[in-house]
Amino acid sequence: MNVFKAKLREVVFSVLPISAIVLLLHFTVAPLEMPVLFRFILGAVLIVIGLAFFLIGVDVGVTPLGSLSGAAIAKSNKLWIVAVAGILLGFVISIAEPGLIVLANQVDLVTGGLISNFNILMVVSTGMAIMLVLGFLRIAFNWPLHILLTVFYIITGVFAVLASPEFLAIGFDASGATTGVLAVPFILALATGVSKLKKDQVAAEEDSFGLVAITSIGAIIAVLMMQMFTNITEFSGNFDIGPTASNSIIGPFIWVIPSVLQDGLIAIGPLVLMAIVLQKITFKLHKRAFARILKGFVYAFIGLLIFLVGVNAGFMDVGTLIGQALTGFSDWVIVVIGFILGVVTIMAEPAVYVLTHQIEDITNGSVKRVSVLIALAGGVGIAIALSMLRIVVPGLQLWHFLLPGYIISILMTFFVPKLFVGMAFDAGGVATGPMTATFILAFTQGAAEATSGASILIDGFGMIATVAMMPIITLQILGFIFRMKQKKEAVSNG
Amino acid sequence: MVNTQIELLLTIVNFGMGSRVLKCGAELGLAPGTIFLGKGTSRKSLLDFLGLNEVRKELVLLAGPIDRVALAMEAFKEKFHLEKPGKGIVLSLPISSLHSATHDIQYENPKKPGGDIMYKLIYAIVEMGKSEEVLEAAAKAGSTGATVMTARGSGLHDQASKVFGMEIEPQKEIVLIISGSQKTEAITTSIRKALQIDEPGHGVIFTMDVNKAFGLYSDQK
Repeated sequence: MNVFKAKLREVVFSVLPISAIVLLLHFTVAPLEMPVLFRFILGAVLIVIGLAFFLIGVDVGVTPLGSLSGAAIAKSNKLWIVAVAGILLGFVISIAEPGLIVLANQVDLVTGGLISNFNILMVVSTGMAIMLVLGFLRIAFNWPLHILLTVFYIITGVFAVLASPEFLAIGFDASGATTGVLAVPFILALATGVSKLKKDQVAAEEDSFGLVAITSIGAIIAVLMMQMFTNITEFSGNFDIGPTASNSIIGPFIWVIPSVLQDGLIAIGPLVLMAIVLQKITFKLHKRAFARILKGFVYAFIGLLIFLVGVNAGFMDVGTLIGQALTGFSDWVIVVIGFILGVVTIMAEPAVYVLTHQIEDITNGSVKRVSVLIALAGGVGIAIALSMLRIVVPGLQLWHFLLPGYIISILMTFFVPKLFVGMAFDAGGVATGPMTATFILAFTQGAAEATSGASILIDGFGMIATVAMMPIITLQILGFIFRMKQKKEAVSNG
Repeated sequence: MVNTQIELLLTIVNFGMGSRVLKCGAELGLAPGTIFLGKGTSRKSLLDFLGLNEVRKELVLLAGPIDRVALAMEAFKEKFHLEKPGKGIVLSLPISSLHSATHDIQYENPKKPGGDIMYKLIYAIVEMGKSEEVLEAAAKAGSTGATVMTARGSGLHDQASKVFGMEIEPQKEIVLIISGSQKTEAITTSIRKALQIDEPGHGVIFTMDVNKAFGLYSDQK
């Protein structure tokens, strides 16, 4: 059981910080009621166990499947196969993302049914699928990533100027929602599968990253375009986000099981089906190897269930309550605590774990996991602090961060080592996983709700957009440092 | 040019330990070294059933004069607890020359090491995806574990080709198996038969004598 023990140990270290901080807040500024506190502790335990299973499943099942699919598609050497397979994959991935379904329902709600949830699902999936094909062709034809990103972010910028603040927030949130726990490892592996065929190893390293980023732009552009064609200006945004009014400790964990079970099935089902179909058509793996992939999916499924139960039943309420409790204090307290929560939450994000390991694997360990994690955590911490700042300072708007942030991000791509460009933009999508989307979102909304003049819809969703942006900058800064160090070493080695 | 007996030191440890092995080796005068990634597989039935029989490993290559290598092996064994199962393997292989910034050694006339070779290292290079078959064939002939690495390369029979804008080389898998000397013949024969290695384009197998090894357990049963 060495594998399980090793994973468990790593996961404990990634969940421990957030648990410690919440306990610290409980004893200092934001005391929680006993049932909530017990639920939080139980939730943390479930998250540790769930994450360990899920990550083993990703290693054994999801990543090999993605990598094999990527290689199989590229080797076909036919443009129409890439197009058809890419579109199909794009659809399977985005439809399989529980976060997107939640988002579609919310949009349906706030637009009073003018944009149905079915419409938004189709539009976002189409956007993603088209961009996935483009991202694929980029690797195959060696198009430079930073040029492609520049072009598409300029397009996004044009649409963003025309969009209402609500839609801007929803659009960026959609991109975060589509790059969830399963999609990220799968898309990452897809890119590695194609690029590792390359004879040119430097190019192969660089091209392993960037596909997540390109795919998630598709979702933003799709949502922003949608508003242009529907002309919606009225929003009836009000969510019921009150904490679970229950003194039961176990109860909420059992209540969330049905919806979590459904999410898990929707997420894993299509991928398993795809694995079976592709095995019959092209992989033709040895039956032991294929059986191992299927076993991997069983682990991923079990892990995802336990993880989601823990997050939804144990962490959500705590987020809201801490957010509300803090608004009684001075503004800088909220900003500082926002920063700390951002730093510790991101460490427990499953996709972050996968990405940092992938980076270590692909660079043969020369880019260390810890340094990526520090850059990422710092970026997310700053993002949450900025979001808190926006809540307490009424004049600040989302685009005041997004516009300069993305301009800086794009400009940096021209100077940073290309390996880090792909990594950084991928990390942006990776940072917005289930931990951020539940715990931090609840925290932000709690703070927004208790502060006069803040809107739950705009402030809450805008947080996710900021979280997706900041790591792009911090990871590119890491790229700078990395290159400077390499130069220094080259000089000293003479 | 120095004429002294030299050895190649191969250390296989769990992922993350490679850098420490490298550092430890450098302190003992074995440098520079190379780390590469592989995955270890074992045939323990429960892990196999659970699909958890693959562990990420790091392989470290170091080389140097025989006395230093011997010193390093003892040091690694101590430091990385190789006497416990699952911690790692270290083994030394005879080589005939070594040239680098720090070494310029050629070892002439190696004395034939008679029948006292306890282990051999089997090195099988096969097409991507075939490692599973190699492992199965090896297991049938009594092997209990192996390390698999991915690699690329082209020979006479499968050359680099162009797919869209990118040049691709055929992907390979390298399977490393350490076996007792008596079993080696049986294992290679089994692999050759299972993968039809004797046909063109089906791969290569070679074996090397292992001078000394720590961290092997299967053969002690």
